[in-house]
Amino acid sequence: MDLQEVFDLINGIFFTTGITHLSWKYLIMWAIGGLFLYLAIKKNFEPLLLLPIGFGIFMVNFPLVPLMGITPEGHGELIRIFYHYGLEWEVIPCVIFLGLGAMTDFGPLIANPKVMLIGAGAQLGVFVTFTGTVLAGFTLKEAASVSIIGGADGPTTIYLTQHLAPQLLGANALAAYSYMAMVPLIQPPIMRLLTNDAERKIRMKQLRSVSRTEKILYPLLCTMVIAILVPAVTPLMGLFMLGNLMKESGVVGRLTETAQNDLMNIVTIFLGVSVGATMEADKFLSYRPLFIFGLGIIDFVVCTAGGIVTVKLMNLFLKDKINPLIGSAGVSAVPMSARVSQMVGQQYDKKNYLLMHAMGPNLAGVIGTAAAAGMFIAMFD
Amino acid sequence: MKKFIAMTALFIWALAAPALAEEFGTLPIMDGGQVVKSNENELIKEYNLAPQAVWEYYKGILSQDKEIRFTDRGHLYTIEDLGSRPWRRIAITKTQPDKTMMTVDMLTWKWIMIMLSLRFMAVFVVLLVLYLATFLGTSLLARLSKEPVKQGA
Repeated sequence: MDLQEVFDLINGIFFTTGITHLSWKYLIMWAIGGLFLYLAIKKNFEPLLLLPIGFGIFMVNFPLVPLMGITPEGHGELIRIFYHYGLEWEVIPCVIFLGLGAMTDFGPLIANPKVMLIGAGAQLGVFVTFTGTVLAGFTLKEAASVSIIGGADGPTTIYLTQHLAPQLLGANALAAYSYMAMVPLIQPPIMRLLTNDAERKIRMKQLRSVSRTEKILYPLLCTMVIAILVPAVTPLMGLFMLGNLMKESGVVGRLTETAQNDLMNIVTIFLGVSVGATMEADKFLSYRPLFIFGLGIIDFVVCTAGGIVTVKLMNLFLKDKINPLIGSAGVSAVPMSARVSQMVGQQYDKKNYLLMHAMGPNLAGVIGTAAAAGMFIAMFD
Repeated sequence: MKKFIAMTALFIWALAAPALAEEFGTLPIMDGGQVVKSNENELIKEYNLAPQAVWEYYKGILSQDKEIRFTDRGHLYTIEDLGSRPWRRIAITKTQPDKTMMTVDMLTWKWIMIMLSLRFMAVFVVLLVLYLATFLGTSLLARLSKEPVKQGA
């Protein structure tokens, strides 16, 4: 073997590495991935999702990595398979809803069902942002998928985006989860701006206790209403209610525990890494994700305001007034936004416990966001 | 030979027709017919043709596009653009066998705002129905069980 052959071998090895294919685009994506890892690890912002998403972004943005492509034999590479079966087939958002349902207590909503309307009012931003998104040059389908971010419901955002504009999945999911994590920062100034001191100190009547029978019947009732009125989101809401029925029935403890923990954890890993991996530099680096992030924050603000204004309107007709601070919980973000209502309420009256009252609109927000998503799917799909 | 020339001419015309046809918001409009109404937001034309012929014409030129939705609504054929074209919908009436009314609507802000308002109200309706169902259901249960509603969590 002469020296030339040795050089050829070294050259061959060199060209199978990614070094020669590196570009500035990858550096930007590493920084974006790094930012989300930082937010997850250091700031504890939605770490269960932002950590796998951040690492997914990081991992997929290296040249020649066989993760999201399709092999010459025609089968998907590792994360492409997770993405294909989990997200393209819309399995993961529904399974996550099963787990969420198994963790949810609808008691506060059943005890005070009129707060259901707050969940509808808090969808205002979804519809307002739609116009802004169309103005920014997105198609109607894309506008629908971007505007649902304000509903603050990750699985619903992913479900709708996958239906209508899969090319925006990464940016939409990231915006939704990022803003959900930032609920404690975004909502309090709006809550203070739209309420006065007297309103913030309104004490609400203690909620009545809810019987087991009511809790068992509620998921059936809710499924029936959703399946009849908004059938497009029955896969999501149906599994949500199945999870809840499993929990409330008390007869399938093992299944409930699996849905709440193991199953939820497994799909969360696949969801996070698949969403992150959709953000390959060539597809992601454009003005559009910036618009989506910009519109997402406006969306969140208007949705929060919509919930508060709805409470204020309802108070015009109610004898027992509702504290408008629980209106902000009408965006989904369960239970973070309910906790924010409690936190802000206690800043003005230390003995005012709003958490359980805020859980009602919070859960109504989940249903409201799903209803809004269903409206868009019915219209554009 | 004459037949071949006629067929070739027809084939070339069929290919070229959409390109030569007048346009309304980038949509090539089928030749012939009478304009009933035309303004910047709407075009209505009447054809002395079977509805199926008009439907097939537009299917032929638009069916390749994934952003176009074709729907047969019984009394009406509709072709809707879900992408970003300036026009929004073509409606083809099916009320008469040999006469067809075709309406092309442009995508306007008025339509977007009305559509969004109605959808927003529809979300309220869904939650209102759920509220009423929950309220009635719990009231009924309370009455059936004859248990006084307990206070306290």
